[in-house]
Amino acid sequence: MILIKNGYVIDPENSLEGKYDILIEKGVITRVEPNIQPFAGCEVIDATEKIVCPSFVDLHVHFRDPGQTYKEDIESGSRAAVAGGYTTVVCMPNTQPALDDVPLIRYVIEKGKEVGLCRVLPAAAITKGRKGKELTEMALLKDAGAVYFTDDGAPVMDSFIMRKAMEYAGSIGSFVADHCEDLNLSQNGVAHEGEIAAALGLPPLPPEAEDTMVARDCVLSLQTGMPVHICHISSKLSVEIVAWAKAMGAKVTAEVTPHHLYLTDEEFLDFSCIAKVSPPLRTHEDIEATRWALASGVIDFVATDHAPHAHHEKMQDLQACPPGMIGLQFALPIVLDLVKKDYMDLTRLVEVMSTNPAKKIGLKPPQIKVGEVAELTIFDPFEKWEVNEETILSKSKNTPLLGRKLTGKVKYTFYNGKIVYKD
Amino acid sequence: MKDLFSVNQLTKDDVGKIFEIAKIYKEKFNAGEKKFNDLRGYSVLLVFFENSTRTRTSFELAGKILGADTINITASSSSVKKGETLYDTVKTLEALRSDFIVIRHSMSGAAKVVADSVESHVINAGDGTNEHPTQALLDAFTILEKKGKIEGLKIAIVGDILHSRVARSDVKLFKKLGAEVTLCGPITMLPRHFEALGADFVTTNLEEALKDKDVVIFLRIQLERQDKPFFSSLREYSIKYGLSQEKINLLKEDAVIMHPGPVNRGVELQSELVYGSRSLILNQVENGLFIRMAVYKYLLS
Repeated sequence: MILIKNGYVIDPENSLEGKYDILIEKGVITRVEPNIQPFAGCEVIDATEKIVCPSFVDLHVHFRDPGQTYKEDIESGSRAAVAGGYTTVVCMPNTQPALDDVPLIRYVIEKGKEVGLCRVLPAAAITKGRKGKELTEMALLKDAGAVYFTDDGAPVMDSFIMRKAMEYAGSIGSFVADHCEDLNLSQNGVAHEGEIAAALGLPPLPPEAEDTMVARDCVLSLQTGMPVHICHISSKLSVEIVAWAKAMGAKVTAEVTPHHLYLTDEEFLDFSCIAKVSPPLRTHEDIEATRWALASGVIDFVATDHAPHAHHEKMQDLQACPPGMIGLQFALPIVLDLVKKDYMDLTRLVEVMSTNPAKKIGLKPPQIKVGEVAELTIFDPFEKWEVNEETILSKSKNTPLLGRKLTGKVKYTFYNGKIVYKD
Repeated sequence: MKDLFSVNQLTKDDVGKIFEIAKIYKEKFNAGEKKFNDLRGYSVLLVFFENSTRTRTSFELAGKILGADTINITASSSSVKKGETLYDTVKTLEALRSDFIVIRHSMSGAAKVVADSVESHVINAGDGTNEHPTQALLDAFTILEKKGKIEGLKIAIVGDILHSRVARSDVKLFKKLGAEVTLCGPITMLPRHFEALGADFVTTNLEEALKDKDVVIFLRIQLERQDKPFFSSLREYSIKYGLSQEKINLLKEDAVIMHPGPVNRGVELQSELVYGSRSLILNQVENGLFIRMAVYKYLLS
């Protein structure tokens, strides 16, 4: 028996907000009341000045498993996830081989269960080998457990194939998610085409590489009536296009990463490979736009795009090094920062970190309610901690945040009724 | 100062001192003194990940005149092809006790990354489309020699500004020394955020750019850019952005023409203008030698 005492509990699904004690017996929440007296044989977690909420759901992680497990694997990724307060993660299919076939989907699910720290779900590729040419067996992949379809890391450049994929996925009750990037426009771009790229002579990656693809996908969704999900939206204009499409009634959803809410292209000032990510870090204006869009609902939720790369890969020159940064342990402090800066309240934080992404894949959102198996996160909103080699639990440490301090730390994560992470 | 990877590192005072050293070397050299001992016992590794004849030769000769041992390492013969990272390559060179590493690399920022990771003095001989600081120094030195000052001069830089490390270094240095700088090129070869380069004016019209200028620098057009939609043809480029005898009249009477080389004759400059009376192109090459000698010496002191 575990009693969580004096925590500030938030669960938008049950309109719950306030000081409550939570009693967990045999993994199941049996009481949620203002004041529960501890009794013999009961482990008490003091949650004074801490927040207790449904644990988080991340629809966009790269666990590199199978094929590139020197960067991350399902076990190390799961550890990082629960340390970030997450108990559901969706693995991207850009593994080696790509997740485009039923046995591979089964492998990810089985390995996730074997590790057992959190719910590891796969997204399958839209096209075979993520080559953008032939559709995968979407219906069979969905039956095997793929929760949606994406060629993430690469866009579906051919608009006809994208239309057909959108229709087919929509017709079987799923959806496609697109990494929006017109490769003809992006060329070999490395940094957002702004003042910093111009001044440093960095190969420029224009924002319209993203914007035109977001617009295309929104129009296709509008015309087909089928859903599309925009991965890692990052530019101001893309946000405005999504707002327009939603107003027109298109079934468009969008996610934003912690880094696109927090970091700018100024990270490139020392030519660091660590700052290279796709889409690229943009300007203060773009950050401001994504923050307000997340607060207002134009952007539906946060997804980390946790993209581990080995140290040696990020030691190459800027052109050769692969794009991407890790994010599972930084999402909470970064979104919490938006709460502190009055962009949104704590209820919205829980919605964008947990409730909304869960609903997007048809998962029952974790809840703090009598009768539910405990799946919750306890975090200290005030605790400062340094991002460093020790605090990062991923195999890879590729983040510009290394050496910086963040505020907000996960203290406990419960999954399947058990404590899977304790700080 | 340990390294020279960017014009940003240089104060006006640094530039003055480097020019002073270069001037002394040049005078001594012209007086017949052709070997010095300032770098005797030092090694200079010329690490070129991109092809170069002029810059590499200039750095090599400058080192040799100062008495250093110079070694050439070119990308095709190096470990790059074997998949070694830039970091490992330069750490290896450092372990060979290199005193100077002169580096050219196709990626912007490479020289700084190298400078930050080794004890050797690192000189940037061109990094991607970022900077080429010794070119800017020799350009400014050549202008100063001819005009007696830089402050208040009107300088235009014409050509593929977008991909030019020379333009980026030149603008920074000319502005630092008080000149007014105009950038000119087809819009496809101008950075969208050109204001970040720090120039005073930007134009797509050559006639406008040439008007009342004291100095005009023409940049080399990379012929391979023809395959990409940066311009439609060399013919059109040469007509619209090349310097002809007629257009020369738009310049001030005592205006000079420069080019970092190698010139595409008939493209950037009409052929007979290359070594014409207004051209400082060979002065640039000559001064490059003394500027590079001065930079070695300055980094040692």
